[in-house]
Amino acid sequence: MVRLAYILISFILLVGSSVVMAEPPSKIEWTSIPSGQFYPFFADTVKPIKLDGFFISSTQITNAQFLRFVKSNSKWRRSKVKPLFAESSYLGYWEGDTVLGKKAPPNAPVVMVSWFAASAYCTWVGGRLADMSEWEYVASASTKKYNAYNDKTFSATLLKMYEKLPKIPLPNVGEKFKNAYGVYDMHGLVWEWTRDFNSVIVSTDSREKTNQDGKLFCAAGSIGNVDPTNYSAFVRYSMWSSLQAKYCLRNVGFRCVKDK
Amino acid sequence: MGFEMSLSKKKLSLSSMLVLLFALIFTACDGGGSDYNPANEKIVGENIAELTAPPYVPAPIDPHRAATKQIVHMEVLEHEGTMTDGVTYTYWTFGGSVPGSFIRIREGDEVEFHLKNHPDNKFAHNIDLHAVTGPGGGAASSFTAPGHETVFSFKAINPGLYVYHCAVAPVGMHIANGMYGLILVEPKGGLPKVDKEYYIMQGDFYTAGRNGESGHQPFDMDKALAENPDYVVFNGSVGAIAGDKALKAKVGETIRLYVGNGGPNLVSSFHVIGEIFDEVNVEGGDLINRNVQTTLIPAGGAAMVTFKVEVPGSLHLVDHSIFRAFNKGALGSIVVSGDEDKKIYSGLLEDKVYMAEGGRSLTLPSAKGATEKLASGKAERIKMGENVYKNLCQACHQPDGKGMKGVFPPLAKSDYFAADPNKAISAIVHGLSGKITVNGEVYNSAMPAQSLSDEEVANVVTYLLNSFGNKGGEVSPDQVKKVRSSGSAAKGGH
Repeated sequence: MVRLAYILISFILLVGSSVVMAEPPSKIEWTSIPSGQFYPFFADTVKPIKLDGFFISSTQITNAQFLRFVKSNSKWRRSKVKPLFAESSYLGYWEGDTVLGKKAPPNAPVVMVSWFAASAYCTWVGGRLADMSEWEYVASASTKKYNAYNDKTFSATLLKMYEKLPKIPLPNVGEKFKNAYGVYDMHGLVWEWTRDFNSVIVSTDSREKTNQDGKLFCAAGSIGNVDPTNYSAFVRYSMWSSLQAKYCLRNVGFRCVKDK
Repeated sequence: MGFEMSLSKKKLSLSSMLVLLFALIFTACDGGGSDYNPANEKIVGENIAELTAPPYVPAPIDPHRAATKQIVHMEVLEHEGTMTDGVTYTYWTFGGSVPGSFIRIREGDEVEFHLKNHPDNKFAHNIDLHAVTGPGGGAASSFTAPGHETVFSFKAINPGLYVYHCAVAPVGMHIANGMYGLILVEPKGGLPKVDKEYYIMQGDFYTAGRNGESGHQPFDMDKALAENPDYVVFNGSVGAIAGDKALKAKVGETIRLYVGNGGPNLVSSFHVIGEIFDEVNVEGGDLINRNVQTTLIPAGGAAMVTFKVEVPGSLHLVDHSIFRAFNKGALGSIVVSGDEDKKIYSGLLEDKVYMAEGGRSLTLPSAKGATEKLASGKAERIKMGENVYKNLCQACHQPDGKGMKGVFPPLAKSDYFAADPNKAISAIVHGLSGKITVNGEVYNSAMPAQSLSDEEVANVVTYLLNSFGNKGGEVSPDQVKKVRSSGSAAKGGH
């Protein structure tokens, strides 16, 4: 009798684990981005930034992908992470240290990860977080054009995507906005960490024109390199500049890049 | 007290000089002795500040309450709301409402301000309170990521009604989405007592779809830059303070409205239809203007308006840039209940026909004169007169000219103008009112003067004389001209 129960239980466990196994692979797909030039939204000069080619993960990192990382790197588990590297809300949608649960579907983007955790993940997969200029370079592609930032309808579309209120649980990655490079969800799903997110110092008070935010509002503005009607960019940079590396927010996830 | 001491405390700007001058005059009238400086007032105890959603305001502050540490917990919420029937919009709010929660403190209070950005929000926010003396009005110290809370504190040193708003880039978009509200800093000793207080704030909204286009409407940056809003509303949506949600008052009550304008672009010509503001604290400050019809409220500004409601009925609040009220939503109501006061307002006493002296348009005949076709003879005059009759006269006097017994006198076989066609001419050019007798029947009605040229009158009277069993004859334009210039509206009894 006991023996039979054991068999039953192991059978159930087997079925259960096979359900887990049946989920899509949590391997990262890399998209190749060619080298090129990028005109930053904020700049001291009108000179473009030259970018080498790189690979970028074609989607944001998912809960399932991050779970694998956490499983093999126990110091990044919720119960073990150092408060210096992640706020108390770290992986807040997860049910437990290594259990995703209902609010964190495996293929939804992982959120409530700090910059430190995101960086550690990217290193683990042999990459790094994208520089802001790399990120913006890829993000400037519409569904059809590689560089659509000067396209007014694109900017308006982005604003529309940004103001859309998120639904919990978050939707899966790789289903909605695929841009000309073949990269998904650069806009409209969740915000993303970049390696140098805090290098833009948008003043905490957007109307100031002091040296603190000279990059964004003075020098660049006077030589006409900043487009003050590019609201979607203002929104992104404001968001980035409000962050600190230990923050774990419900609407911030990440993706990784790899050098070529 | 004195000039020197105050000077050392305040920045030497023109406005502060004016304030100083004002204060000096005030203290002089007061018999001196008052050297109150809110910045130095001692703080006694602390209190969680009561916040209210519009159109309500927290209760007035006890005039004897000491300056206190007021702790304000303000939560920023981004959520979908209704702009008007069938139209939704994603509002960004302070405290969940547009305008945001009303904050009420007194001069001398210290405010510990907690700005909480809800974890589900997508954007970073901050707050600039115009009541704050300091960098960014607090914005510099309150930049808050979603899921975070920032704290800063300030001393309220200037009484008045102040706007607060979010100032994160792009600032216009944050304000356009509803991130504004009012903070009242009561003067020491409080404001004069009133019976009712309400909180109203105007705002302009820019949606992708035109006014009334149904569905969810995202913010439209181009329209915002062009300052061409689809909606201009009080309290965040069309009808927010109208219909079932109208503000209420009773006859005899004195009402104070705290009115703000969040903008982001438009300046409000705030007016209450059917009331005169007994007092307006101009721009929310100390200056009181009396007997004001419409007060200008700048974007990012406010005013306190006070008035006593004397008679029952609906008072309509509008932006008197009136297309905004009629077409874009800037309309609210205060329903006043109670007894009529006929001394102040009679209501409708009479509705009667008005007959203008000399016809409706003096330019008409001469204008026609240039191109008017003139009758070549009696036959043509009758024919042309028939057209005039059919267009103008037969509606009342009927196609057969028999009129309507007791209402419209008959023209058929009429004994009224049989002997003197000038009476018919006079009735047409001057109008006719009062008691007349036609064919033995008494009529006591009125006919307005008709706007016809001399030629047309001659034609139609000639037509009359030769129709409906009348005895014939012809009237010339010259004859009409004579009658026209010789008198005014005939009264009955002729």
